[in-house]
Amino acid sequence: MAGWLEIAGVGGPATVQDAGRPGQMHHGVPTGGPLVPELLALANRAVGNAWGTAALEAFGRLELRVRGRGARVSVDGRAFAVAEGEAFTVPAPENTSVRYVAVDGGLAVPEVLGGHGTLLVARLGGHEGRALRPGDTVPLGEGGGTPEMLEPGDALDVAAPIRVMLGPDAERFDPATVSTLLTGAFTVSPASDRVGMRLKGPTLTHGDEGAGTSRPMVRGVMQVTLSGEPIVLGPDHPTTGGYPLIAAVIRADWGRLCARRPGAPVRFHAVSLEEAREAWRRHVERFRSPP
Amino acid sequence: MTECLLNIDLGELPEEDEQLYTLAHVANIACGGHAGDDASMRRALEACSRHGTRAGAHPSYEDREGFGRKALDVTPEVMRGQMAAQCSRLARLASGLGVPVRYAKPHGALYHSANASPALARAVVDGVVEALGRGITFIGPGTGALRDAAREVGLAYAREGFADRGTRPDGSLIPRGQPGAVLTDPALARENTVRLATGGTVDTLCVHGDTPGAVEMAREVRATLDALALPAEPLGDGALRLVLPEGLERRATREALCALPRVVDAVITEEHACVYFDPAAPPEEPRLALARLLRIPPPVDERPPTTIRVRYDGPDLAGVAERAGLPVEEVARLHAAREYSVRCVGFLPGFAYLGEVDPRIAVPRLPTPRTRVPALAVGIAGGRTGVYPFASPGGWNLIGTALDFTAFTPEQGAVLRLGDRVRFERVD
Repeated sequence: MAGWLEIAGVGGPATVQDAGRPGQMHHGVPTGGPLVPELLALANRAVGNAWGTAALEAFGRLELRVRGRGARVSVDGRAFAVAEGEAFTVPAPENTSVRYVAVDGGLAVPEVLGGHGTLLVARLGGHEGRALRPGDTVPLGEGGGTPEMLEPGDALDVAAPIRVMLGPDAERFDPATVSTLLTGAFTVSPASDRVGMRLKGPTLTHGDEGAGTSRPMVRGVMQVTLSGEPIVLGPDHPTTGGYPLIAAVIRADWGRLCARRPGAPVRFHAVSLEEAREAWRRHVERFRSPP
Repeated sequence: MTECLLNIDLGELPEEDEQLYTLAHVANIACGGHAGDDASMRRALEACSRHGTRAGAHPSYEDREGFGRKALDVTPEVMRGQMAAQCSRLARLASGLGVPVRYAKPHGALYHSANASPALARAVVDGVVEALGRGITFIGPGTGALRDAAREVGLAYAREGFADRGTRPDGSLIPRGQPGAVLTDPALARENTVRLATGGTVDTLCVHGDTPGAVEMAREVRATLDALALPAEPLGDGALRLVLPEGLERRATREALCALPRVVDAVITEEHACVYFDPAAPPEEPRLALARLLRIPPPVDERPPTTIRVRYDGPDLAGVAERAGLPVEEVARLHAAREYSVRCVGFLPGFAYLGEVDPRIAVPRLPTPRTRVPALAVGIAGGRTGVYPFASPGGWNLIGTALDFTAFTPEQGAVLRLGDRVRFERVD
């Protein structure tokens, strides 16, 4: 019998997120998806769900209760059983930016444009297109999959460099600026969210006022504002923009970067397209191969 | 990658199609050896001049009857003199017409026999240089005696491939007269072109001008080469940003790119097309789809214009008027006076970039963006105008508010599509 998840308390922004909605960029809708795909995969697989099943993505503490049935619940892959009607608390994330709470069977919110995730700017998807509030109830799907414990390995290593491909606008920066990007010590700015991560550190100067016209964007690209501050676009990024792009974080490292909390150090390391693709193949094998 | 040039053998037939000169980067002009006389050379040079085609000499064994297709017994000394004489004849006419001769390529049997004989190759190269100087680029086979001879003399050398010739599995040409030697199917020529132009072993491709269907073949090859010359830049490991060629209908372009195998999404912005894909499964050369569209523009299903009612009450209306040196009234009138078309959809869900704004009111975006622009605000930035579908940060000059307009629905996505026409109707 299906049940539902009751939100009793929230200590920070929490939304429903899933694997994302690729293929809608031409409507101006970014792909979305989890800030830290590895943690969503760990959470879901530990309760027998497919890696990208809809779950809660929380920046703060959560107080929850399962109604209608008992459930297997996992927080970032640590699974436990919860009885029907039992309340439980998920502490705020300490070592990562967000935390994922998966329930066996997943969160059964309606599919919108191919995904279940919440896009706040458009009040789209998830639970009524908004962040969760105390008193909300989210329906649960049917569970029954085989749980599997995944190991994150070094995927979320906070000391590991973030791999980038330089370009496509690297020629709009002088070589010294590109070298600053690859040698400088940056930290995650508190002014970071699902739209983008701002980085504090050396200024990446360029004389480019930004193309007067808009250009295509993708999650992971690093745009540099006129003040020289780099911003790495997150899952809910604007789909077009005008600032020059000095580099792009490779897809295999999206989670490694976005898992870092404000103040965490970030260093960048340039790789080739071939290295990026190889890293992505290993990532898929590790976190996304079907149960 | 330097651009791969299309060279076509021309000036050989009395009724050749002048379109071939518009398609060729380089015209190899027959200069009396296997074909051609002063009149045909002059015609060819004039066509080069009209269409901006680069002229090249196309000397041959002196065998007009056999069209230079069979090897003759000519000593290197004599060959050198024949080459110099043929090329000089073209050069004299060209200089009279003010057309520079910048390329040279031996024709037919000579191309092959010289490439197998260092002495003959050197004689050909020396004869050509005697007539045309060392500033020319010599066109010949990728490897062999001709390339060696050109190198010895210090000539620039363009390695040639044949877009309209069939190849054996080992890459060598299928000899003429055998099945599959000459391709007539443009699709095969296109495949050949992509393979040769991206393989790194040729600098120029040849299409023969004397075969039936030569124009169609040349057009296919040229469109493919033009597409492959378009800049394509990886946007990380899962997207490729292409420079959008002039003259493509925007919506059809998006649909064609989106329909390619392994392309997950395609977005058109002002100057680019971008394809998105799984990094583990990149699509094949998406620029070829653009080449096809350039060649065969698809039909466009035009929808009736959308009318958006606007109250001109934006906080930047007075500022825009001041900057434009116009009364506020006039800014509103000019904004509502013309029909716009959707140039791109992006930034926010359902946000349509509309152009062209009347240049008198095309003011640049705000120096500092607002942290919150209300939903349905109507803005101007440079030559673009648009309606914010949702409350969001934004840097456009806000001149009004759209009434009863829905830019985006969860069911159908963006309401305005690329190429749609939009009008604003003023409401007080």
